[in-house]
Amino acid sequence: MKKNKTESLTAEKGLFTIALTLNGRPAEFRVKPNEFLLDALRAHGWKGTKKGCDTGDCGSCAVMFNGKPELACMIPAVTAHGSVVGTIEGVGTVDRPHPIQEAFVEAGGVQCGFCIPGMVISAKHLLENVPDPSEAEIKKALDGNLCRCTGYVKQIEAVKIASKKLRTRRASK
Amino acid sequence: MNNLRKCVFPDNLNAALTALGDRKSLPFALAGGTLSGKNIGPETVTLVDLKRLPLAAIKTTAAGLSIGALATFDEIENSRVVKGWAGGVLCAAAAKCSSQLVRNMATIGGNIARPNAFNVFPPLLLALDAKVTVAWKGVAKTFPLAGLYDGTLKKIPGRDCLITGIILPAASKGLKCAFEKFARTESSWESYITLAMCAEVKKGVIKSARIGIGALSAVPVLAPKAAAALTGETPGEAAGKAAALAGDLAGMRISPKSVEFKKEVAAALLRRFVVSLA
Repeated sequence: MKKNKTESLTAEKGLFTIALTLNGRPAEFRVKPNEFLLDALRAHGWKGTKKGCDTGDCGSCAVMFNGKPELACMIPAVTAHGSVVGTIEGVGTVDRPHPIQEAFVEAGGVQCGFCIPGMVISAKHLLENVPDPSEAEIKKALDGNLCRCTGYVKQIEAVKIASKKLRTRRASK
Repeated sequence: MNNLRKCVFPDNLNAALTALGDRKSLPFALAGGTLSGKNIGPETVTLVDLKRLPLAAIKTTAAGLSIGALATFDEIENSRVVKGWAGGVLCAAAAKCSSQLVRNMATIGGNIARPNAFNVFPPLLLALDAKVTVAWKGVAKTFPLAGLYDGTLKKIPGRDCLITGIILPAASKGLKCAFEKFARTESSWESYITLAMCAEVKKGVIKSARIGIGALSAVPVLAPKAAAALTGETPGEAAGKAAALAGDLAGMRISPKSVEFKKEVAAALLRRFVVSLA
């Protein structure tokens, strides 16, 4: 007989304890019933994920959620229990930026920078699945990441540069 | 969500139905969460997270094309099987929904479970004559999609029962179809009118047609007058009959300020579709 793997969590003193894999490491958060993943991440110090519209429209809160970029502001925090989450902090650091982050700087794709973590998350997922994307594919992948500073031209250019960098790196290995 | 005390993560349908069936625990079922995640009311005490249920498969069966209720818009848009069905109209419709980030999360089951004028799948599935499989404790039932909205089901999906899948009849595979979401911008969630148009064309004659209308009412409706006007015609002759769609819109509650505009747009979109059939 198949073992029942149905899990359940119960709030204790008004808080749920959720266990997840965050940027490749196990993590445990105490979250409020009405909290969303975005707020939970930021409350626990992961502030690279930005809070923009909080209604699922702007994409600045994009995180990798079980293998796909999703909107952290739309995910009730308690439902992130058992999930694999990746934030911008897991992509690169100031000292060791990811080639996509380097490309955004090189292309001048960063102005105020608020939307960039979400854009990098979306771009990274695209380039992992489509190493040499067309401009249409880049636009489609980034269509949920709004930028109010630019006209998206330089960010699209950045993804093209990143694609080239990553392909060159792969070829040299 | 302030009063949430429990979250259940069922990994099988029975466990999900059991959790939902415990009415004293005031449960609320959540799938992709893009429509309802932000609207979980204070009455909810138990959240039933459906994401671990094995209900995302997309496959062909003897009955037709089977799409699991938890298949996301992104999965539908990129499915080879779906691309090969009815000219890939479901892929085209999935692509018209919001942004990539939303399409990664939103599920087809959630899209049809919560009646909303701007949901893309209800009018299209209605036009494709889709059936829906719904389960509740000890029962699994398949019935026409319209049953979700016309009271036939007598249950509320996500509360009293769960939508487990959608079946497109085998006959719909070869249909010529188009999906038009006429909105202010490409990425607008709202639309002035949404039309899903399907036709069976044999030897240059329209044998049958089904037209689903969305955006004008909370639930999608069919356009029987326009469908009847097109049936038996050749595409060239039928283009002129697209105006019959205005008759189908006449009975709907549309703002007097926009009714003429919407009638014109609808007729133009249908005419364009009919011309494409030639």
